[in-house]
Amino acid sequence: MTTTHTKPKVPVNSIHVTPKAAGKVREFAKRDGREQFGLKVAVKGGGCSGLTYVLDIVDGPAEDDKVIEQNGIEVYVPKKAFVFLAGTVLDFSDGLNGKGFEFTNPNAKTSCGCGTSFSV
Amino acid sequence: MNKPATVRTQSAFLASRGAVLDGRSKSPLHFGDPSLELAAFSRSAALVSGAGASRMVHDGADALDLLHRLSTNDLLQLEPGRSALTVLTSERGRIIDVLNVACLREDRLLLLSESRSALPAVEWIERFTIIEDAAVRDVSGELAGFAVIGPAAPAVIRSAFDVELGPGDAVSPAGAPENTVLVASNWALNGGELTRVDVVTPASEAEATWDRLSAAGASPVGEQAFHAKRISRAVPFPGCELTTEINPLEAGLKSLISFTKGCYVGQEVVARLDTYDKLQKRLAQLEFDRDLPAGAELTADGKRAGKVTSVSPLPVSGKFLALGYVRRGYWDAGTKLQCGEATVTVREVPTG
Repeated sequence: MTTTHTKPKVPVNSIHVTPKAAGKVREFAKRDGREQFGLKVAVKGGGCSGLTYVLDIVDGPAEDDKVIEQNGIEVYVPKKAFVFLAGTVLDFSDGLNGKGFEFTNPNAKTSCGCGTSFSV
Repeated sequence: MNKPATVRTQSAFLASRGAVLDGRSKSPLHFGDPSLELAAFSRSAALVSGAGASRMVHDGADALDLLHRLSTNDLLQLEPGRSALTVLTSERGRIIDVLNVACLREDRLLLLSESRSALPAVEWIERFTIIEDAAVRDVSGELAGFAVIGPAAPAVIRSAFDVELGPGDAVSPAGAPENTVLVASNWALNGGELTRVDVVTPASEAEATWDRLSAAGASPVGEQAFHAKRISRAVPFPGCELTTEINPLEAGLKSLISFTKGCYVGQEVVARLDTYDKLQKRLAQLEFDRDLPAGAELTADGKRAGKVTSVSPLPVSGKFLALGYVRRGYWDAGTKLQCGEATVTVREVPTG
């Protein structure tokens, strides 16, 4: 049987967190004993290719964060980082060869081998 | 930012202290006897004007972490009062600039570069400053910089500022003008030891600081002796050996690379070159039998073997020395190459 994966179409003014990734975020938040939380998604300088992704579970949005509701969780993206992330899909890959949280970023021209760093 | 004015001021006062200036760049060529000045690097302490060098201040709680992610060395261990040399590299692992990073406070770094302009480093750092609490600025016009190099450098600093410095120390000495910083490092990047202390001081205090160092026993040297010494120790220099076409391994800067720190910009390329021994050329010291222009092609049996990047302005121990990049297969010490009519011998880089 062939399984066909279709990538969700993501509006360019948003980012998309898949149900699987959202479920993992909830699981990690619950493990931390958090009741109120959101997922911070950002970008910082560094990594092999120049820019690297930042993921963090936080209590709430910072003042300059864009807030996006996705599959039951709130996603906070700093406005300065959003330009690098618009249209990105965040998924989760598990299993022995899984990579954990995975980004598919239409802005990335190149990515490093481990997939956590990219350039635009 | 008032760099041109500062350079003019510095040139004028250096001339008043006996410097013979280059007609175009106004940098100090020598102070009367370049051969004698060259000896100061080995026997006592040479006082170098650093007329064309750059200085930057990098402020913010994330400044150190950001530089750690953008450069080759492990900077996260750097505590206030300490310094480390590191290389800013591009995504392709090529050299943007070599910086001596002095941690003055947890949220303030002083960045010293020998590049004529701070702009490439400033623009590179700014490009990757996104969500970080960090801001970098060129202070080359506000702060003057000198270097004291040689075995007696610690004694000169002790006498001038009453402070004891070890390698890697970065201190603001008590009693010195505000914003004076002393940064001690090892200038012999390719092995061995050659103590260097960078003295950074407000531009308005440059003359007094120069005189203070001179009175403490440092011998003023011009650029001819400076470049002769660095070429004799195979120390690469911006614009000559350190360019955006070269990676840190080719330039002999392996001692400034941490292979265990994790990712930084360019890390994949640098790590791969090292792991698989893929260097195609590397920095070599060259001895030649006649005058040789920088930029000249090196050949062996009619094939391209490399390029000359710096020619020593003075003979060193009676030898005519140069630096250049020599291709794999030709870089072993003793290999004979041609450069036009000249015969060139690849030398073992001296570390003593």
